[in-house]
Amino acid sequence: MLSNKAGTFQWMIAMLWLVPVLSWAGCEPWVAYSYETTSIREPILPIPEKVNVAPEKVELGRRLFSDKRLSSDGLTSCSSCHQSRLDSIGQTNLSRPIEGKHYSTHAPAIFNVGLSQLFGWYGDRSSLGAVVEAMVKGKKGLASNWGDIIQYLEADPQYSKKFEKLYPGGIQSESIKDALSEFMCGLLTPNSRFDQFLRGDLHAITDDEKEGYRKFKSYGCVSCHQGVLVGGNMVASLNMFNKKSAKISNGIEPLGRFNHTKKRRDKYVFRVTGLRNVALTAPYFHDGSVETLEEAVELMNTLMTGRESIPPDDRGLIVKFLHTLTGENREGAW
Amino acid sequence: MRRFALSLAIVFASLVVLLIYFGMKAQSYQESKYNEAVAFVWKIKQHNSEIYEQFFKVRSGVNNHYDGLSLAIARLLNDAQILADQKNDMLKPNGLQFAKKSEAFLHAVEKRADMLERFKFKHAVLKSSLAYFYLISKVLDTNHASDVIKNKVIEVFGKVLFYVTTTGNVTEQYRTLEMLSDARTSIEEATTLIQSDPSAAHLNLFLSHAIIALDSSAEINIVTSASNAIPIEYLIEDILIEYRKYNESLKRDRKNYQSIMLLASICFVLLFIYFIFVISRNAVVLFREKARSKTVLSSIHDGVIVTDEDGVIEFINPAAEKLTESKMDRVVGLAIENVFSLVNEKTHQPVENSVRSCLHKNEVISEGGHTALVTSTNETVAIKHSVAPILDQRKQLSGAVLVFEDVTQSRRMARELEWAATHDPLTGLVNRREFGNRIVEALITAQLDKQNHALLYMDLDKFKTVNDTGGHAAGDALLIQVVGCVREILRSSDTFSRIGGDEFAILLTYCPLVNSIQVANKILTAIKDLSFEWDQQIFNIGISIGVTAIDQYSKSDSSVMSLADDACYMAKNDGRNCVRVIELKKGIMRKRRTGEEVLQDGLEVY
Repeated sequence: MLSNKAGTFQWMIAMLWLVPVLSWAGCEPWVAYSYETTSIREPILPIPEKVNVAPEKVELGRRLFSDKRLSSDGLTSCSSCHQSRLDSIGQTNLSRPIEGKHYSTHAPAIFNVGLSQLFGWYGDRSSLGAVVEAMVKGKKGLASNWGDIIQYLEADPQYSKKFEKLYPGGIQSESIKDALSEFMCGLLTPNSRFDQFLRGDLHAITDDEKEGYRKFKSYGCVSCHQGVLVGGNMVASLNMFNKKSAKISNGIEPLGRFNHTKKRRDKYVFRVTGLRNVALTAPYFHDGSVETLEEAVELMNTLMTGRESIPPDDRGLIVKFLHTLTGENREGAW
Repeated sequence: MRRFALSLAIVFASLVVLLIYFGMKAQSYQESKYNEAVAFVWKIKQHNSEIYEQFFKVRSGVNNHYDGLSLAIARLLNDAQILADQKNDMLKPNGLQFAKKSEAFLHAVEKRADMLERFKFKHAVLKSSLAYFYLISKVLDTNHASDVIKNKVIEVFGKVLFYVTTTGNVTEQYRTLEMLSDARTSIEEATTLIQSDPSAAHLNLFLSHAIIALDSSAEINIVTSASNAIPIEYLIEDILIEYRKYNESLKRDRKNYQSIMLLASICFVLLFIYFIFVISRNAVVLFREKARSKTVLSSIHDGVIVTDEDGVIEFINPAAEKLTESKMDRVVGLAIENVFSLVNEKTHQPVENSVRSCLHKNEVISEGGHTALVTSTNETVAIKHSVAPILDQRKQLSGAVLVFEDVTQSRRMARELEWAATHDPLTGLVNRREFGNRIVEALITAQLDKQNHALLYMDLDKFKTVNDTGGHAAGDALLIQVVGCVREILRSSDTFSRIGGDEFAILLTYCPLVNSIQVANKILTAIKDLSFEWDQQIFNIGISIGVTAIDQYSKSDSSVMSLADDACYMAKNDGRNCVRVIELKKGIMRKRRTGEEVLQDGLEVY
């Protein structure tokens, strides 16, 4: 991320005093990860191997993540919709909302989520803590409130003991958010074949895949899908050519951020998805309407480049390249 | 004194409270918090410049991804949120000013973040659109479009590239706008040209990208200048100023508190000195008074003993020590009875201790009569004493003060006076007046108890002769001899008195008349036998005695005395040196001394 390692080191030392001040703020990317540089100056960076989180908090966060009783109906946990392990079962198109007929989105996978600064399909959350807050309260999420959750947690002796041990303030919304953030920061999938290639192992990927990467760059995909997450750090509009309307596959207009901010310039604006482990997170797009990677590549081409289609060979190569982005489950990366 | 002490205590206490309160307030100031806050603001400045750094790296192409820029933005946002958050324990200057400023800073940072997001998006779009430009030569080669169109397209791309790569220089903004409009016009021209030629339709894609590139570039310029226009540096400075002002005011407050404390301490010390001064002055006065009362008490000639309310001795003065024959150090703390025990002077029977009665009755007791003190050596000293209760300020009994003096002398003198008043100095016999009293007493017992007494009147014969011959000294000597002679005959219970120059009277108590006549005869004989020698002269003395009875029939002392007197007169008349008796019987004439004859009941003379 930074152009020199010395800068990183300086950061870390300089930031040390902030750690007690920011102890509630959750996992900060500039604190938790030590970013690498590579010998090759590519727009994509490898995922860091280590993360600086507290193992007990991660454990607590994991329990909370899969605890069904945090939701208002007692049947939904975070893990019901969000994939947190690479070997989990594939997800559905649209997550079932707990109540109401709210149109739900396709739940994004949360690998490597600690590395990004923009969250959600629309990129309008600013920190993991804010995401957790929105998910806990939102109808698309647990549809619960802090009061009920705290009550439930206090009643459970194991939870209260753990919270007492780890957080001086006990069970509060801040400590719950912190535990979940720590857990999510710990979800790394490093060491994909492409990362090995970036680190210097030129034989980690095949020639076809290298060609695919080149095509990825030449078609201009890499201008938005860049960085350590291959995307995820900016927003972009789906309606590049300013057509009157832009439809994806299921006929509903993807208004994107406009749904939240109601600003004309936010129409069709979405956060650029990170393409890590994209081979495993079918179906694609915010409404889960695209089933295969080939379709997704084709759709992106149509929307973004204005060309009618990519030649199938190129498409295939790009898809091959995308498969190399699959990393390893690295629990215990800390 | 009490009110003074109370008011002083209140002032002291309030000073102490003041000192503690201001001391705590002065202590509560912590420089470290201010330093922390300032360090944080410097961090913010650093992060802000990081954003610029990253921005320029992206703009200039040094960075080919946006991770650095995103991270820098997120960090600054985080800082601004911490600053604006009221709930953390960072230094928070009081008042609305700081809250407003931190809110303003947060808004500014959010606005900048917004703009930089826009920038990233447009920059990516620009990059991707420009990616087509290098393909232009290939496309143009394989194209069947006319040369006109091809040249136009090349011109468009050139102008677009020109605009895209040379903008950003603020001083040449008018030129930039010129270039933008120039490029736009070219695109319009190219569009019309291509429309007219259907074989060049696929070049429309490139034109669209050119438009996108141009628009993106324009927006990037707008967003960049807008973002730079946000005065974040000033806002940061504002916050720093707020911190500084707050710190200064806290320091000033602390100085004020400290000066108040100093003042209070000085007051405290001065007050303390004053207090010590007053106390010591009072102490000196008190001491002097005490010494004086001690000397006063020691100087009193009377004995003074002070006890507490239980009769335990507190103080005994030197005169009392002397009288009771005890020492103060030995008797202090003992009960009063150990030192002061009273007995009746005459009977030596113990008498109730007056100190106890005084303490018991809470009134003054004085006794001057017959009490005597028994000393520690068991000697009796006649004293006159008075005990008074000591009442404290609340009128409660708190002790007793006993004052006593040795009255042996005065008592003796009193006794002597009394004797002198009732006795004849020469002979030592009872005098007439006293004798009269005795007769009255005898009469009472005679009448009440039916007792019989006798009364003898005696007159010395030839006394005058002796007196004339030998002088008064002879007469006195004779009298003394006679008295001595008669005394031998009388009992101790008889009263022998001198009622005149040579007249005597004897009261024989509890003596019937018959016996008294015998006594009278004995006296007669004794006097007859007596020969008085004076100046080588011998005198024969005779005595005339009149006897009467004092019994239940006696009327009064005067009647009895006159009867006795008459009897004596009769004796004298009958030739002297004899005894005559007058007995009360009924109806007998009697010749009185005055020569009067009185008819009396029951009078017999022999």
